[in-house]
Amino acid sequence: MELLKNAWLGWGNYIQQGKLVILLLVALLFFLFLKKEEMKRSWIWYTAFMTAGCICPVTAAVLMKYQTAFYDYAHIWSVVPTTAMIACGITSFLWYVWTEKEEKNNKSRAIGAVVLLGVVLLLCGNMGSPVVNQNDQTVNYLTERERATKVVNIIGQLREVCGEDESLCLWAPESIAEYVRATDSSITLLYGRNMWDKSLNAYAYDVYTPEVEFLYRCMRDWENSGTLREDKISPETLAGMAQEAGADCILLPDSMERITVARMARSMGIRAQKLGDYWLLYESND
Amino acid sequence: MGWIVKKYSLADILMIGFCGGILLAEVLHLLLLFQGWSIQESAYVFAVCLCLLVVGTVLLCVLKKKSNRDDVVQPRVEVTSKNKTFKIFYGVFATLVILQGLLVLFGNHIYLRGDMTVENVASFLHYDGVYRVNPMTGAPYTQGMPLRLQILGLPTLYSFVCTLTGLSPALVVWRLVPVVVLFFSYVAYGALAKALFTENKEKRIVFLLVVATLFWVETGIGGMDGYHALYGAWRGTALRNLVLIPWMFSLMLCKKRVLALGVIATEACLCWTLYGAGVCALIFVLMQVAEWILAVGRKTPKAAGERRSVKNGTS
Repeated sequence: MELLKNAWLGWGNYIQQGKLVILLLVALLFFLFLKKEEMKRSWIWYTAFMTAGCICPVTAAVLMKYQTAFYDYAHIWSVVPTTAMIACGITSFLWYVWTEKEEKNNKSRAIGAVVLLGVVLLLCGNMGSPVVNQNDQTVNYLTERERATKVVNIIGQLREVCGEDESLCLWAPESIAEYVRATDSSITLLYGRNMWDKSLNAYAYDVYTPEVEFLYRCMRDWENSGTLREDKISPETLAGMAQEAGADCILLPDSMERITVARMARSMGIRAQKLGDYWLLYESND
Repeated sequence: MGWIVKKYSLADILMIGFCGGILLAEVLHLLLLFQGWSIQESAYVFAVCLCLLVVGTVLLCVLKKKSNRDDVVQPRVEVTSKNKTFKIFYGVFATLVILQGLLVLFGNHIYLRGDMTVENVASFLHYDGVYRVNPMTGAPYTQGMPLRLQILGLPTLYSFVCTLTGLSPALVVWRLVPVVVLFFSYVAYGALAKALFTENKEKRIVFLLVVATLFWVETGIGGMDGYHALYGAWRGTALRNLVLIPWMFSLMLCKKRVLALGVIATEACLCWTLYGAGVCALIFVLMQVAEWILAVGRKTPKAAGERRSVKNGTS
């Protein structure tokens, strides 16, 4: 039933971001009824059959079962050659306009057809960043490479302080943890991207302990607002929890209260150092 | 080798090289996974085999070009306004593709949701082996990961490239690999164009031009080819959708079924499939069923009668 529900809702979500599937249907009708001899029949019938299969919830559920639960609804559309069929339809239509009738003003008709189809493509497509509604928030799934570059710089500075060969276990905000493993794989993390990108949990059976999840929530609160929603826990306790979880290097966001940073550092017996937009708490072995 | 040159097109030969590289990396990946080989040593084995593959592919391409020139006497083409128009189309197509390449190399956005390729590659390189640690944290696995994901060889292929070139995983995976995938995507679409518009070269260039335009207008629609091509072309599903699927359709339309089986095997190395049966296998089966049904339809008495009356000029 869950699969059928996802198949039912999947179509609605799929056409939210653009209407190119409508162009696909138009291309299919063009070849099925107007230009029957124009295109290879097996290709047309296959595309028509699979398009219907992806739209109808029952057959879409079968396709989702076939592709395995690792992939979601949008992936079943891989079986439909959407781009190629739309391109075929546009090519055949343009050829009909350009060559079928020898008339005066054929050139202007040809240019008009190209402009019209260009406008239709732009209106049905979407050249912006795709956003989806998730839990009543618009979410843009694209990541900016600028943020990755910023993390590379921070990790570089961290290594200058901590030493190139030191193995570090880092407790850091999401904005840093997102790219650390891609930048320097010798640094281990208390939690990685699969803490907030739940789709990554399909890759492994490992789960985080409740303590690590709590530390992530605290760091997220500090990063977003500078304070904790959970006021009853002291900074000293949090520093102790992080150390027990295995962290020996902590990056705290600049938005935190200085007194909180100082208390955590004091409990670890060290002084906090400024590192770009972050506070570094690191107990060296020297 | 002569029969390969005769039977397959230039695009097919390039695609055979592409799939050959992936299958080669997959074999080495399985040795790394099950025999505990090291990435460093395997990378050099990969390099040697890849050189042989590249030399073979280039040789076949040269022979194919020579064979095409020998077979066809090219008539002297007069420069007409139509030729000039199609030269413009070539130019526009090249411009669109170059801009796409520049966006992939220097653009600001990438699609990382549900993907940990760079973390995997970085971990493989650091520990000189595959799946020794959880790439998300760097800590050893406590519960493990599904075997059907472990056997996919794409991160190992990228690790070989990083080892041989000395470039960082992020640079190779997020920038260089997508450019290569974009190139082979257009090779695959070119093969499909030839299968669909066999006799008309001008229609093929218009088709490719429209595909390039569609890639641009699909950038904001998650899951579509343009989105994959410009924001996430290193992923297994992107390689499948952009390269393998268009080529698969061209092979089925041209009845090159042996190569089609190779494409199915290549997909099984790139994506999680139902015990090896993925999208390409489904396309193979359903396109073949469509061909059979249409063939049966052509042989029915009614259809034969209609063809006779058309032949005799009566309707």
